Amino acid sequence: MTSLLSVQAKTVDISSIQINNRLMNHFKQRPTLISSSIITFAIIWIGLTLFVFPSPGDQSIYAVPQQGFLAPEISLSSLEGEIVNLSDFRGQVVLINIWASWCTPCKTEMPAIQNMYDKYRDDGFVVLAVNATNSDNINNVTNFVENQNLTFPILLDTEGFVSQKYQVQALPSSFFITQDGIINEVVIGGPMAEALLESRISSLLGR
Amino acid sequence: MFPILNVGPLAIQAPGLIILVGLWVWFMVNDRFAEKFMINSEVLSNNFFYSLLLGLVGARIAFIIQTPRAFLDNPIAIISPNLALFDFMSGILITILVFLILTQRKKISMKDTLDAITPGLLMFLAFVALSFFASGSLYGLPGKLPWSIYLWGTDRHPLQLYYLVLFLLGGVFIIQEIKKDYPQGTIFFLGLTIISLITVFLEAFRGSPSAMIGTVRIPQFVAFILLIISIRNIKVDKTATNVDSYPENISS
Repeated sequence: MTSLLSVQAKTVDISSIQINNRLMNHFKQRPTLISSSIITFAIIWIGLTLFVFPSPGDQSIYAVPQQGFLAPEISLSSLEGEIVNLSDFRGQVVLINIWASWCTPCKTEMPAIQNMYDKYRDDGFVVLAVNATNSDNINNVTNFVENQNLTFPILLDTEGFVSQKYQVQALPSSFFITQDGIINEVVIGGPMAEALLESRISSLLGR
Repeated sequence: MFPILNVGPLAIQAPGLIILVGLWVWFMVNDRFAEKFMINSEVLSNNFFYSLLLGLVGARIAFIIQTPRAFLDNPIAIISPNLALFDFMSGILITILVFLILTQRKKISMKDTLDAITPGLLMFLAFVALSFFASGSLYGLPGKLPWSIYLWGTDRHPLQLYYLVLFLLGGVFIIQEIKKDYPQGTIFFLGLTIISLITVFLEAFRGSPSAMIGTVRIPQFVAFILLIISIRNIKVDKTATNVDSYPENISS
């Protein structure tokens, strides 16, 4: 009985292998046809990609807050009452940092941003610190700036237009912008390490 | 697009969370298929975990080597949790290398191991595509289609969703095929063929910046090379196992 069972098991086993063998033989007879068809399709498709499809990455006509796109224009009043436009800084590397005085990571990363500003401002680096004033208090903002000894422009987004334009979902949010006004990198959340700022700014300045 | 999940006072980075879930799914799927290839699932999971850990450390070290000046004034930043301070490409290469070394050291069949992790790899790639959808990166070319999505100023091909769907379908196909008795390594090269074919095809719809040499898109070119290698290896494996003589060997 035991031997009969083992014989049956062996038969089932062998028949399943034979089915797979037939499948394999099917492939074996036509490997060249199948693989050649796939490779020919791939070559034709790559040719189409080269000559028919538009090149990727050329998205600078759209002004949206994403890497590779033109940075949306900013026109805000500074803490001193001056109107500051982002387009005024074309030709310089710009860091837009959107922050609030109640936001702990914003507070933590500000000294690092100030250090980088001190180090690279003469090389053409600008910081535009946009305060989300619509969710902040102007007295707290003034105290924050004084306590942290911030010397870069502090812009007041009293209506929240910039937060909306830059689709800010978390504070702080930072945007590294090239000399051509293109967003090079978006960093959502924080605090950003000084090493991160150093690596990105020096790279954008070509140092 | 949903880069941030606001849970009470917490702002969770959705793309990172999706990648973590994807890795967990990959672990689970590996466990499921390890037994079929007579691999100890615990050993496989450990190898996988240590490779990822060393890959993460390697990604940070590679970043430091590339930008040492950034860390000279702030050596504490070496242990910073900032994801932007990792070189992910180096991390992936180190993870693969460590995984191969560990597999060899534990004397597990390399081909069986690669076969066992292939279905999970396709599932993981589907999660990666979802994470790109969450962050809004790897977006498609502008195009007005019934299924276009409005993203970054215009209607576009939902490239991330194309990848997601095709990787899922590829994963399902591999899970069906893995049940059959193919020669060692075939499932892996079949998976690699699917991944590279999907990449060659979908790279044409890419709108986000891509590494280029002239007008040639590097990811598409690399995928094409991988496609040729994987197809060749599927063929080689089938002949190498000598399938015709297999039943005779068993019955004798």
